[in-house]
Amino acid sequence: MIQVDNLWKKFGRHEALQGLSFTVPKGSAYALIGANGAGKTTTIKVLMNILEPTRGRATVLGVDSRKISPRELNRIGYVSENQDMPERLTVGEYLDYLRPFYLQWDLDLEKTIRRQLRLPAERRISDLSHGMRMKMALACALPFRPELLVLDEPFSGLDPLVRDEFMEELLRQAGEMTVLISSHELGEIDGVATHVAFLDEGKLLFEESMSDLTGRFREVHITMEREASAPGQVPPQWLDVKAAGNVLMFVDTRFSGDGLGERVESLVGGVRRIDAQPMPLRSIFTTLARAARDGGRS
Amino acid sequence: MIWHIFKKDVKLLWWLAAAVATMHFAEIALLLTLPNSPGNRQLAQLMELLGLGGILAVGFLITALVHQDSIPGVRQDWLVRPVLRRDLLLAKLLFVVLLVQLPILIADFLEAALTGFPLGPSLAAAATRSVILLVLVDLSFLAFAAVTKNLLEAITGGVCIFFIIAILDVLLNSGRSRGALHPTFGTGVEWITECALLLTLAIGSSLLLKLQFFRRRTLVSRFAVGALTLLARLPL
Repeated sequence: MIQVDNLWKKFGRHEALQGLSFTVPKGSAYALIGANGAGKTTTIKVLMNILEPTRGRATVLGVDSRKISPRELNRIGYVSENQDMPERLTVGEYLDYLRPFYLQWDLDLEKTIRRQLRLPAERRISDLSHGMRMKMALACALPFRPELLVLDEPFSGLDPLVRDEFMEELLRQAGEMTVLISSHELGEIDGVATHVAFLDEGKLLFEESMSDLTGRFREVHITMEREASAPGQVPPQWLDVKAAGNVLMFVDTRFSGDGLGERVESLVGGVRRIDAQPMPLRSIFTTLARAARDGGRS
Repeated sequence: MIWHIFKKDVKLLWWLAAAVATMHFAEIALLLTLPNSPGNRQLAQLMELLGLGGILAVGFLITALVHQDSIPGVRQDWLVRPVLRRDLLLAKLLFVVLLVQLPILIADFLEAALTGFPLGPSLAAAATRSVILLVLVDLSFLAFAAVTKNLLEAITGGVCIFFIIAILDVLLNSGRSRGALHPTFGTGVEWITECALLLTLAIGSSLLLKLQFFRRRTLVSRFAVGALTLLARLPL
């Protein structure tokens, strides 16, 4: 659905994207995660042909991103936290305006979405709160049943109730749609995304399916028979190694249940008990972000 | 979709277009009143003000029109909608012709006809002036608005251009008579230089509009605006 090859984007001297390559499979919910300034929004703007890449190439729906035309935009829904819509039009007037541009606009679906998101048709866009604007953007992106839905930081600044409403509507309509979502609100992505790509300062640190990622990350607590201390030679797959009392803690980034006990025993000795807990995406992200900041180990 | 985009712009800007048209009609009403009040300086000054204000108001209206779907920037909703760039440009041109230029044409025609000229020549004169204004003023404003994102940028850019022209004029004219720089000034062939200027602006503005609407090359277009300004002020 989306193929990105060695994508670079420079703004003056600043390299916002530095050779990104990743693939968004058809039917997936692909999450681009990373801290503010990591390059998520720039990537999406390049994919939508809003920005032109400095180097490299991206194809969306089989078309070079530089050549995305109304034909492709008929099949792509886009929701962004920074989307300028005509402020003086009402919600209803703007939907009326957009409808004829699309080859397949389902009016019944539009009404359903509007009702479920509780969008007041007669209210001016300028009078909508941030949350309502995001719901409005979603209501404008779904009625033509896009094959690809691109969401750029859709949860930023939304209160929990609006987030839930937004997410519920998105999941209700998702169907066979491919979804590309950029966010640092990882709690919202957890459980929705099927694939994750982690960006840091314009570089892709990794891309992986969610099941592989959550499968290989474990928060490991080792209870020792004596005072714990970090081993002299920390294995590269161990991150965030800490010792407190007789407990040694670390994040294992290449976890496999078999043989962990023996490996740990050979490294530190005197192991009484090993606990390896699965980690939520948020913890994986913060661990990786910290590791990237402290020296790039992952 | 041209008519569809046009209707949206009318819905958003009809009040401004009506206000600008009212200015033109007020100017004509004053022009028709003036001969009956010779020596009324206040009335004459008001008319001059309306004349200048009319041009600025046209510029403001055209800028507001283009900024409804501004070209530079990365946040505009229309960029991610299946809107044909050609339709967008033609919708803006349609608005300019029908809601900016048509009221001027009607006002000019009324002025000539009410002054006592025959209807045919009155209409011809009004239409000629409208075409000249369309090329010289409207198209230039359209092109200029297309390289700016919002009103603040447009005003800043406008002020910059004004000062560049003023400085250029002072530098070029210092110590020389106008005739030295404009050898055709006041002669029978002055129309040639005027037509050349008109043609330069028409071609330049059209190229700028094409560059911006179809390729969104704002930086290049902004340099082109500067180059066009210099070209238009070259001594001929």
